Amino acid sequence: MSRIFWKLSVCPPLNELPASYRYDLYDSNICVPRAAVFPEKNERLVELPDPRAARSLGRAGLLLMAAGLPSQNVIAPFVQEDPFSVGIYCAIEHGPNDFESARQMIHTPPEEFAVTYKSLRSPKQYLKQLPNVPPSQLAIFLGVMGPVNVYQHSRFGCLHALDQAEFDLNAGTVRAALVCSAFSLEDPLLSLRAWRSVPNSMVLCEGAAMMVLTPDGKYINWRAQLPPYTDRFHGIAQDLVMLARSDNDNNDRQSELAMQTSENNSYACEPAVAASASKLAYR
Amino acid sequence: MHEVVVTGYGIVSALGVGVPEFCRRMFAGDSGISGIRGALVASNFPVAVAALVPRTGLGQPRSLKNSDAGDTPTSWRFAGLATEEAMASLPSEVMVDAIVYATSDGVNFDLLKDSFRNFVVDTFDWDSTRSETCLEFIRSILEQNGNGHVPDESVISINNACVSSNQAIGIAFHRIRSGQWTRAVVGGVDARCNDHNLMNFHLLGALSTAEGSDASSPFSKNRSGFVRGEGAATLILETRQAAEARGAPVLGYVVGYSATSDAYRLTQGRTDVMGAAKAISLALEDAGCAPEQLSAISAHGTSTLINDSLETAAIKKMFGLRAYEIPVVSLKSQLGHSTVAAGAMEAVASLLMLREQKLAPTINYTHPDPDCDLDYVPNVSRPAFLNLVLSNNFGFGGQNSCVVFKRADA
Repeated sequence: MSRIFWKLSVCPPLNELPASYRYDLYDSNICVPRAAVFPEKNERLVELPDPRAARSLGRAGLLLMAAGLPSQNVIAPFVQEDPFSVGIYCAIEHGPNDFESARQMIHTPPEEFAVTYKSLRSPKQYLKQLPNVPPSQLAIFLGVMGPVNVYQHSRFGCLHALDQAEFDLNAGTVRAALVCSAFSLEDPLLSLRAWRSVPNSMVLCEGAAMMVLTPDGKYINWRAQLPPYTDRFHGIAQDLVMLARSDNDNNDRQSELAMQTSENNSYACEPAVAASASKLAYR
Repeated sequence: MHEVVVTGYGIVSALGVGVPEFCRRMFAGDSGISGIRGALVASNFPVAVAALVPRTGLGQPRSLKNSDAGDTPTSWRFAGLATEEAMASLPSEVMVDAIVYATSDGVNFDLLKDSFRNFVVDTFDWDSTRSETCLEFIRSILEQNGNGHVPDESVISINNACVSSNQAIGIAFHRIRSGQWTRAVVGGVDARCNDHNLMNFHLLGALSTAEGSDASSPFSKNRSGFVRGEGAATLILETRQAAEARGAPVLGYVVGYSATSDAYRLTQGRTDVMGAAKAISLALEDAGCAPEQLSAISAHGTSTLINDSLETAAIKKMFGLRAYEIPVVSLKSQLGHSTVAAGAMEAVASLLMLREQKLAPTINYTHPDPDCDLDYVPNVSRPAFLNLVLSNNFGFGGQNSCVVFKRADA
């Protein structure tokens, strides 16, 4: 019972040649041979309305903000009318683990574990790992007070999110459904597993997408709508990124949407937030 | 619209493995909390207690009987045992449409440490980095039992902190009520009670600083944080029509569900309790139930200073003066807090209270708090006429989720 009211994908430029992505973690050389990532470091990926929130967000969480925050003035009428009538449906995996502290603690005796753990890890590190923190933070920034659903299936998470959004729109539980997903190469184990799950010829890409769905009186079988794989794989976010890039909207159109959001944004969010996201969308 | 019934449940908890033992100990007011220093953690560890599933006598799921328990992921053992108990009333040839399960499985600190010890790309257990493997194990149990193959798009892995398994129950309840599904396996598992996970919560200042089996004291003035728990619970939900057609026992009804978010702070609920009160209101509305019809509340009741006072305020905001007439029970006083599994375990507890027409006690309630002045069923269980029980869960990120259960013979 839905239509795509607004959408945005945030992906590295398609015309750039893939490069290998190396992790200096183990004795052996570990890398994803074909990868595409944004050149920006985490702190430069997106400007948040409250920069302190970045301390609780991994790179996928920040990418989720880049794709989701530009929807702010699009969903503002819904939120202003009834914040409980807007829901978030997010497919995202665990945030990054702190490999360095784990490496240092391999041989830590039990009696020293707590002291060592406390000295090596920030309390916020745990929040970065929790998969529901990015969509919850997005709800905080956008003022969304309806259901927040978090799906973790590494292959079908996006489909689960889309199906639940479709169901809730049909049932009248929400009037606008923010379906979103993000994937980054920040966590080596998640990245390597994702890359190993697809043919070697594919490029593992970080990316994120947001689609705002509203009721339309017709049921969408999202499984039938999923675009076929191309040469790029965005991990758990694959289906939503591909959906957000498909149809008649090319990259320019998506960027234009983001720019409009940026220019018209007057709803409790710094314009720089959307501008930064649109900058990513141009790539 | 279909009526949705519960036709099976199973539980693995600090109060015992299996519903009969859990039921007996819950109403007896036992504590599942015990000291962990010198056993699970070192003697100088800053956290003294947890609510652990007793490992002595803990069996293997039948479907893994040929596997070494040491090789079986703990979450699989817990979820498998709970699911096999729930499936006692699920004969072969009875098809299951979906599995909706809350789990926190995936990359964790232990996996990282193991990876540093011996990392070989081609032999590394990559499946251990996926959250859905425990659900796939549950699917394999169903397949072995002849309950059909649940397709991937209906194997739904949820991780939304402490509201996760309430959402798993609620999502399946709505789909079954609408007729989209006939039958689903739902629940949650948390098997992360270990040194690093305890440290994560300790560093956030969330855990109790008390050291005895009474360390979890929800709504009591002397509460100082929650006690980490672990376990799993599984429920079989289906349409009443389908249950009656196969002569399945009806253990209770699921009649209402809601989910809201606070849009406030990641680690603290709204002080105006708008999100939590709205969740309670929406769940009752979804159940078609007036506030005065509610019999009791299974509270989130974590034993943290903030949660318990805000939850009390939300109940008062929703029910007004009638709040003082509604018994409010916190199972976490006995079970600790099993985060993503808490809702499913408390769902079983709610259904048992409805079945037995008896309120479980909130144990360790010793010091009344002026901010928490409702009837918390302190320390001793008591008989009560129970028709509708509301089960609250609130979580990190400002998540609120409520489920309403109705007794079977009402």
